[in-house]
Amino acid sequence: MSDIPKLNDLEEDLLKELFNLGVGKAAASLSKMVTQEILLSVPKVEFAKSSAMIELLDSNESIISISQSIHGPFDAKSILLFPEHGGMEVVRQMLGSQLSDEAIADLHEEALSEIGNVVLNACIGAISKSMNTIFDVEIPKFNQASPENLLQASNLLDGDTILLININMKLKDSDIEGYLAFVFSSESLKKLQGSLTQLINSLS
Amino acid sequence: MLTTECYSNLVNNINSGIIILNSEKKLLHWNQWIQDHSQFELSNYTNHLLTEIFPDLKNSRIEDAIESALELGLPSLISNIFSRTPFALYNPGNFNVDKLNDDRIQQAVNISRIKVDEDRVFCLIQINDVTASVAREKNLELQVKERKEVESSLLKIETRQRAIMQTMIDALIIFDSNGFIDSFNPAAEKLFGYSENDMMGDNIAFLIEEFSGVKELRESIELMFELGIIGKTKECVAIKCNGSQFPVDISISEIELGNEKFFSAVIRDVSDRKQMDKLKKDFITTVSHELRTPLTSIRGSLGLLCGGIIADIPKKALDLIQVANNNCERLIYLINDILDIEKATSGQMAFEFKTFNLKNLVEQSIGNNASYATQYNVSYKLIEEAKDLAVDVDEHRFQQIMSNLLSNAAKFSIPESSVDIIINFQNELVEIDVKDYGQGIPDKFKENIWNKFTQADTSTTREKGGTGLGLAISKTLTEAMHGTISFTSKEGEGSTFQLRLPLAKNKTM
Repeated sequence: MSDIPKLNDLEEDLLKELFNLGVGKAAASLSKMVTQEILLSVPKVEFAKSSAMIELLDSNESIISISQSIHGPFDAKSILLFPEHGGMEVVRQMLGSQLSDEAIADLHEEALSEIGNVVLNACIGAISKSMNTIFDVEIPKFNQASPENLLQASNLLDGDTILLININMKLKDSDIEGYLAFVFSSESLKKLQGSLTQLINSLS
Repeated sequence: MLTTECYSNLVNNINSGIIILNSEKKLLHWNQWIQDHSQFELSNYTNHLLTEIFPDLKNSRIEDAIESALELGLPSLISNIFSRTPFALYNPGNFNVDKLNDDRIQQAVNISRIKVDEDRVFCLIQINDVTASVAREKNLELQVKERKEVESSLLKIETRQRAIMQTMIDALIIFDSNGFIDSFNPAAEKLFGYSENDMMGDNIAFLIEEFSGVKELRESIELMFELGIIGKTKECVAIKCNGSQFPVDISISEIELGNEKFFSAVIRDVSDRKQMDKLKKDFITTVSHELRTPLTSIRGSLGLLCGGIIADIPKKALDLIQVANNNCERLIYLINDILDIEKATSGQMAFEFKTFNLKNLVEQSIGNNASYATQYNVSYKLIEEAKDLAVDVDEHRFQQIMSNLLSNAAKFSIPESSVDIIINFQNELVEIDVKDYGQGIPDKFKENIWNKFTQADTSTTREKGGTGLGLAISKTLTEAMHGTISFTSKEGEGSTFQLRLPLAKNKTM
């Protein structure tokens, strides 16, 4: 575990603020899309091994992921993850409960891709803005896989380091736990840490 | 490398909308598809802000997405789920002048940034027409919804029917046209002692004595039709699982389900009722017999006293004895009537059929009742409209019926009037009409006239005498002799009772 970098308090606060800003914007967009209040918050940001992601989701069912790759000053892959029932619940809450289970099942891929796109864009946008840079961002990819196959399906290695962002989603009748993961190559990770330090220095 | 013209051709031939904006969100180009679906001429709009061309995009997600793409390079998928018709685009085939929101094509939009060179970025908006697939999905959703509604209403009906079957007090057995049992409710389980599982697929014939002994199971249904059970309530003997038999009322109805025919049998144990009936009959018979024995000797003694066997009975005492004698006679009639009706209804009465000349029989009846009629100052008049008629009857019972009709007629006649007895032959039946010109039968009483112990006015029982059993007995006796009895009556004008009997098979006397 020694190769997993640890965020110091300042770095964690900064990232939390950054992502809260991002998801806050995403929440506003989502609320506007479905004309109901949706609240998103980021209670926790940490570095972890990619395998930790699976433990956190601790799911017997499949996991839904929406990912967008980022290229620019550093390369990364941003992934939004929901346990299957959580993802379905998001769709049900956002589309209205009068829809049948069959309709939800038909629509969930398209709907979650779009929701994921909004959340990921907002977070990536927040990072871009704070670092004053522009990334090339790919369009979202939807994936649904069992926990064992999640890493493979997301093109990840067991030992990859990820920046794991806990996202809490509050919809009218339910609280849904999701995760946002930024996956970096070791080189990109260094660049990110460098950018963070630079940012902190510029602030202080 | 492709030429610009070639690109332009390519873009124009794509079957979706392409809009390219410059970094100031102003229109650079759109393809033929957009022109067809908006009916806006490209040349009129180049270098206009997109929100000027499509004003309802202001503050929309499209505008946000364009901004994100241009500023931060973020691509946006705007599916049809959350934004159905963001652009004012219409089907080129039926362009509506009103341009209603509902007429717009259903859209799915992708917005992204394209980097032309180091300094220049454009925004690419791609619009797909998803009207057809949305309609298909909607249709599918509707079908699913309808199917679910049908399913849930069927389920409700089934649950309700099941509940009714389960909680019915009477046994309910449903079986198919071969007699095979399809459903056997808890009351049936309790009544027969079999469980529903035991009986599924077994035949109804095992449960009912009357159906047993059929060679083929199919015959049981035919037998049911023969027995006239279908659509009626019939008394049968049922067999319990331990082999014991008990009386039941069974009502079978036919149910048609599509091409299949089912039958439902509602079965009620009538052991208790039968027991009560028997007790009642036994009681009446016993009481009547026990009463008759002492009455016979009382009548004998009273008769002798009235006949003057003892001289010197004071006139006042003799009058009282006469009253006692009359009432004793009446009591004997009543008891005989009760015994008769019990015998007749239980089928214990024996009939001795012989062929008689009708006129002779009727003349005899008139003779028997003439003195009774004299009491009421009424005379009988025989009118023979058909001659030489013969009937097969039990003479004694026939006279009993005629006595009843003739005495009733006399009793309810106006004094000095006559009672007409008309013999006739119509519709292959012998008719005897007994017609009086008395007070007639009140309308409200007509439907009860054949019931036991009924008279129009309870007070007349005292004035006119009688048990109220006469007509009930007459009807039972007539039917036992294959005849019918009926009446017509008008209040204040009189009544006619008509006795119809079959003509004797051997007409020659």
